[in-house]
Amino acid sequence: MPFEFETLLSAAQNIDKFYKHLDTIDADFAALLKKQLPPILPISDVPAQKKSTRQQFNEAVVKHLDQPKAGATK
Amino acid sequence: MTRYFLAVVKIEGFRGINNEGDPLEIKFRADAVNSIFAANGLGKSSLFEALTYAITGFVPKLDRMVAAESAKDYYANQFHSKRRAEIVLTFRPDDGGADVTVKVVRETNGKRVVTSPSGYANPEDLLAALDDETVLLDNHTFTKFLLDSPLDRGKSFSALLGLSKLAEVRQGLSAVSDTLSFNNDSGSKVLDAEVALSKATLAQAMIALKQDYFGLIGKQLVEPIIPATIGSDTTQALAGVALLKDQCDGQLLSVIDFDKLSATIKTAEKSEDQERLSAAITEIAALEALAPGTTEATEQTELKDLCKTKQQALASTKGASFHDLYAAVKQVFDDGSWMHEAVCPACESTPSESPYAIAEKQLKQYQLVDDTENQIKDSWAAATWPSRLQKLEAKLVKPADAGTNQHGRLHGLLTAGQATVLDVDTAIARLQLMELARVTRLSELQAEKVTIQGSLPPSLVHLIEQVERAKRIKGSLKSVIALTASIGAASKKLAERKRWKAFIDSACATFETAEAGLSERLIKAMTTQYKGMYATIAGSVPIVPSLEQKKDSIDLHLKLEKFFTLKNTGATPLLSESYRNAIAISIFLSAALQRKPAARFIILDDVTSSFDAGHQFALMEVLRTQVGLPLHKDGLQVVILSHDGLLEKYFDKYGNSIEWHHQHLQGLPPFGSMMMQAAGAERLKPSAETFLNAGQIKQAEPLIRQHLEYRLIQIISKVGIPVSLDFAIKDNMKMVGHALDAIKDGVELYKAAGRLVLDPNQQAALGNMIVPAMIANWVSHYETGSGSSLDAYVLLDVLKSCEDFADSFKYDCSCKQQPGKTIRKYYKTLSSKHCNC
Repeated sequence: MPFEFETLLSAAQNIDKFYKHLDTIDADFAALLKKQLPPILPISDVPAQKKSTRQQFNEAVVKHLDQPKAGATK
Repeated sequence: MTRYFLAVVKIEGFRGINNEGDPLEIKFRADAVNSIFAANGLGKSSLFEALTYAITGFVPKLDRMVAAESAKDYYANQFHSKRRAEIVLTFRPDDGGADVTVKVVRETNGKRVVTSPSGYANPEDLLAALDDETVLLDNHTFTKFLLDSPLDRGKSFSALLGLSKLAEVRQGLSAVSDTLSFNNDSGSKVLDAEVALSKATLAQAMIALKQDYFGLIGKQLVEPIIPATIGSDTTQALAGVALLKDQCDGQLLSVIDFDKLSATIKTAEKSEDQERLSAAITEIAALEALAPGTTEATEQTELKDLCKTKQQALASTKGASFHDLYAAVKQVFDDGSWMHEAVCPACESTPSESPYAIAEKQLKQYQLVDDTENQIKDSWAAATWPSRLQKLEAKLVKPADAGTNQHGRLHGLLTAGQATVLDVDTAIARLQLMELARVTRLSELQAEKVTIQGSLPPSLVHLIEQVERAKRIKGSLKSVIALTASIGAASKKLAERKRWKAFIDSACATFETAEAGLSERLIKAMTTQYKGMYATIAGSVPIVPSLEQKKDSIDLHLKLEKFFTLKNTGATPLLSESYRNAIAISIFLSAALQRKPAARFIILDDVTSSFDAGHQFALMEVLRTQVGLPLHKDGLQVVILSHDGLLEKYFDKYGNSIEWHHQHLQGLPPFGSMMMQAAGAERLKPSAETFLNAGQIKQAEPLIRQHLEYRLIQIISKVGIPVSLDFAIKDNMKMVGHALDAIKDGVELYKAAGRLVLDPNQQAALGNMIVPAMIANWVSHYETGSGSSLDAYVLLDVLKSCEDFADSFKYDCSCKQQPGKTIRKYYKTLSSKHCNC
């Protein structure tokens, strides 16, 4: 069943539903996206600002990806 | 869930509304359509902007201005002494709770401060919720809606349906899932190149390791290799030689000192030839390791092709200045600053191809240059032949000739983005030259080796070779271990990045599909409604609009199912402005009703500008019966702002009925005060007197003018004094001088006819004192363009004269309708009273 937004829900409620859907796919990445995406919204149309915002987001993502995972062995 | 309605707004010092010390106060009814009429320039748009700013925190018109316009300086009224704007909103909950008051201040420094005088805990949150649930619509917004590109229209539509937050998230996901940017930002490209190079180096090291292992041990080395076993095999082979047994037996390969082994052999033989043989074998091995790789030719061709592509793309552009120009042209189209599709915004010419398409095509060339440049750098970093060239030049070129080295030169050019096909060819030719030199030198060394071997005992020659092989095995093994570890670490990082990229790509696609699906369902749900509204507004003209959104796309296309006898045509090119706007307003109103959560109120500013009277009235009927409370029980609190004189007739018809609340805004923006006619005109005189008594003549003057105009028009209206057609229908005629003339002419007319009801004293005072005083002290000064002000005392006299003047048209009434009271009331007409008093 493909993911769908519901007409009776507000935008905020639908966004929550979306994150919950992602949580079932990859909880770690869903949490990372939910933490890092809202602070950079709305994305500016000005190219330089857009680039800087995107870099800020991707740096945070890479930092998370490169850190040792809990329970991982060396 | 509590639903809040707008009950009162008070505004001071915002945009065209000055009202210093005396805020403009407007009351709204929750259970009615609220209309406010104001003639042009009387602050209607300032009221709309004040509500917009209070709820959303910005004014779109000012935000759209370029930075040089310093729009932030124009939020506050330019004539307010503190340049501080204050908007107080009072909301009435539908659950019977207490009113909530929210005060929004824009301080002199531009800071926005939100508080709640009524003590609401989170006024910012309340405004944010209302921002989600309020539709603010002005003429610019819905006119632009139809002229926008399908993409921008789709975005506006999402916002209309209360889906702006979804649109924000979609745009965010789209930005962060951009592949090129992610690969750059995350270092994936660098890691990819590192892995590719390490794998090539590892392959070479493995070949060397296998050769030496076979040479030393006499067995093929089979992958996967086990370093400990290789080390052990190697040390055992060396320990099998009696001369070396003491130094090798039971030792790890990593701790064996090969210099010491060589010294032992040299001592045993006492021969310079052994040392030369050892050196020759080492150098032969080093040169053999620099043999051409199998992928070199492909790598070189790829690099040359990329350089060629870049040169061609660069030749198609017109340089950096034009890059900026094309970007600016695209930008003004994209952000809606330029609406003429066929006209170039830079030179205002009309090229045969769309200026937007030209700009996009040109920008693609620049993009191609940048993309190819990045590919060139990647290709150079991942290739194996540059490293071989560098090592061969270091080994074979004499230090004195190092200036001719090509590796460093080409690397510098590539890093600076200046390398051409010719430069690459030069480096390749250099590599070929180096390869010739390598082969020649190898041949010389092998001949020397044969010569030396011939002069040494065969067993010793073999021993020297074995020691050299063991030494190389140690080096190769170290490289293989290090490279394998580094490839593993980088590959793991890359895999994590790829996993994230797949996740974010999938999230983005899922979100876009879901959003498009939601829009599609909402369009379906509102289709009957907007078509019905449009039919009501546009009348019986056989035009049927249709909104179409393709699956998985945000683009929203507006078409016509029917246009007279035509079917399925484009809408924008065929429809007149009036019909276009009728469609737009129908869509907007339907969308507002479909909004989730339900919109609470809708504020419409000047939405009927392009409509004739018939369409205007039809739209008002739609608002009254299909959109607004109370006739539509799930409808919205509607606030309509209009400057249209014709429309005011409709407002007058329904004004102050159960379902309609009409008010008339008047005043003297941007200097003076504004007020609602029904509520506040009587405040003008005391306000003016306060200023005059404080010596603030400039502040008092506009209020005096307003008071005089208000009072004289009140006399004309109350007493039914006949006026000229111009005076009746033109707002700009309603000045003090014209009003006085109209009243004087009426009085003279009735007097000449012997029917004037004014008593003799009133007639005398009017003719001999009051009118001359008003003309001398006001009309002849202020309505003749004089720039100077009159004395405060003179102006206080003007106010008194005005009240005396009004009193000349009143009489004392003490008839039974007001038992025990005497009231002063206006004559019914210039020839009669309301009663027999």
